[in-house]
Amino acid sequence: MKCDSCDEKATVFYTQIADGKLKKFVLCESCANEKGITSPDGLLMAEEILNPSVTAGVEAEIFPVDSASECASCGFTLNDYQKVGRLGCPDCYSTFTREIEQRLPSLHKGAEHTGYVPEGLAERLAFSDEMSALQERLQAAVDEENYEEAAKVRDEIDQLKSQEIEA
Amino acid sequence: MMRFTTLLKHPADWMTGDDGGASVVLTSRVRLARNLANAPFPGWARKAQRREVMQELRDHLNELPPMKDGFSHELSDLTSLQKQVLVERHLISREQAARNEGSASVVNRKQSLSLMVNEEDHLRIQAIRPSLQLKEAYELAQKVDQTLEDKVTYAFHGKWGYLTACPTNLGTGMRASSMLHLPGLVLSDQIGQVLKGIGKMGLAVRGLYGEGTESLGNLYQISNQSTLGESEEAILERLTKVIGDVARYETQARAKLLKEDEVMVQDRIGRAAGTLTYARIISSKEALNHLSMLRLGADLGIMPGSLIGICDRLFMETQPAHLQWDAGKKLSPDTRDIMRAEMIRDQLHSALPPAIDISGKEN
Ligand SMILES: [Zn+2]
Ligand SMILES: [Zn+2]
Repeated sequence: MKCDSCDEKATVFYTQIADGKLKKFVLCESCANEKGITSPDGLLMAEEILNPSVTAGVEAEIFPVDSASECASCGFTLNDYQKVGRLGCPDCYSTFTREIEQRLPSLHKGAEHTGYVPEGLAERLAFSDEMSALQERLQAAVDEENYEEAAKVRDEIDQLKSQEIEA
Repeated sequence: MMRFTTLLKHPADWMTGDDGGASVVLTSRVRLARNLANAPFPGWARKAQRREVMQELRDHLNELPPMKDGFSHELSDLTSLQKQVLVERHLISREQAARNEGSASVVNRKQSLSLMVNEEDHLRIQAIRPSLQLKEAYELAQKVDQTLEDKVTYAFHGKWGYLTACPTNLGTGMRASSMLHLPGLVLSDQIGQVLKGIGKMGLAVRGLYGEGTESLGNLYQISNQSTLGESEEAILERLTKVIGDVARYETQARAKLLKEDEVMVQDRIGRAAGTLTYARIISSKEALNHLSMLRLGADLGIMPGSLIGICDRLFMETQPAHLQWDAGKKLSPDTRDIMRAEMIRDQLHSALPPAIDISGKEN
């Protein structure tokens, strides 16, 4: 399925009820982010972009549907999952994240893996954890217009990247 | 490559149980579910994709030091009877027995490691140890897992751990279980309460044989249910503690029965011994229940101690597929009951010889 706004593959699905009518629209992730649809505050903006006939003042309810209905890697559908309770391939976990997440509390003690991590992976995961922490710090510094701090964090990011390449 | 016949000639190393610790907990098993990152799960994969995964995994598995000179066969190369025998030995699952092409079973000589390729997941690594040795079983399975993780790319998620075909195995992918013999708790009517307690701890318990709540032979399996949110060590520790507690309750129940209900206990054990040494026709259900009492007698010192190991073997070898494999042909249920009685008499003979021979062949 193509994005309503560009030609990329659509991954964000919305159902909107306006004037008692149901309207569905689909966007790719970058268009959805760009238009601010992933945040509840962005909903009215989405109205203007996608449905010019609905003016900003009209009350509209938008239900995010989140998951694609079919796994792009293996073709397994959400319907299949709901029928058999199993998945088609490892990528299905990213496709049906929401549905799986909802089921986990009834199956397991926790929602996050705390056990053994394959050796090479442990390093890669530690790297990405550290990287995302640095990126958060960078964003915060930029938001605060603390450019000195931002420059420092940027250096740290470069250093981490070069370490990764050496390793 | 080891042939099926050769595999079965030797008892599994966890079946020879000569250590005293096995009187309540017979065996401990740990299995790890693993999948390759870039392939559909076996249940959804096309035949060609399944075969490809099998090929890749089998090449690595056959090279593992512990699997050297072991058993390695595609399921389609085995007869349905052979598959059934492997199920009865806990070396493949019932689910895998239903599979054919593109699924393989790799078992080491000692039968302590059983690797199932393309069962519900791409790979299930199972290790079996005698008595309550869940940690030892885990270490055995983990060694195989760690060797493999350098050679293949596992499907692993930063937040959810090992990705499995069914979300019930997500996280560690680890299911650990022990098989327990609990005649004392059954005879003293405490079993219901104990099972309920185990359930409340978030652990699963089921009878090994029989349907529903019925457990033939008083054999029960206790295992973890949750695989996500706890480390392997934490799961194993909790399980080991609960199983140790249950084993202690069982031992106390046996001692109490012997003290308060001695004649009843002696009667059960004596009848079992009589039936098993003289019966000519015996069903699986009757055999399991009498073997259970005989095993209890051996543990209480009423019967020779060597019977514990013999009973444990008979629990398995009097199952339908083992009987037919032993006979070398398919047997009708009626014939099986006759063969079963014969096998039991043969194996009990050294420890429990009958006072008279009723066959009339010898005098
Ligand atoms: Zn787009
Ligand atoms: Zn998929």
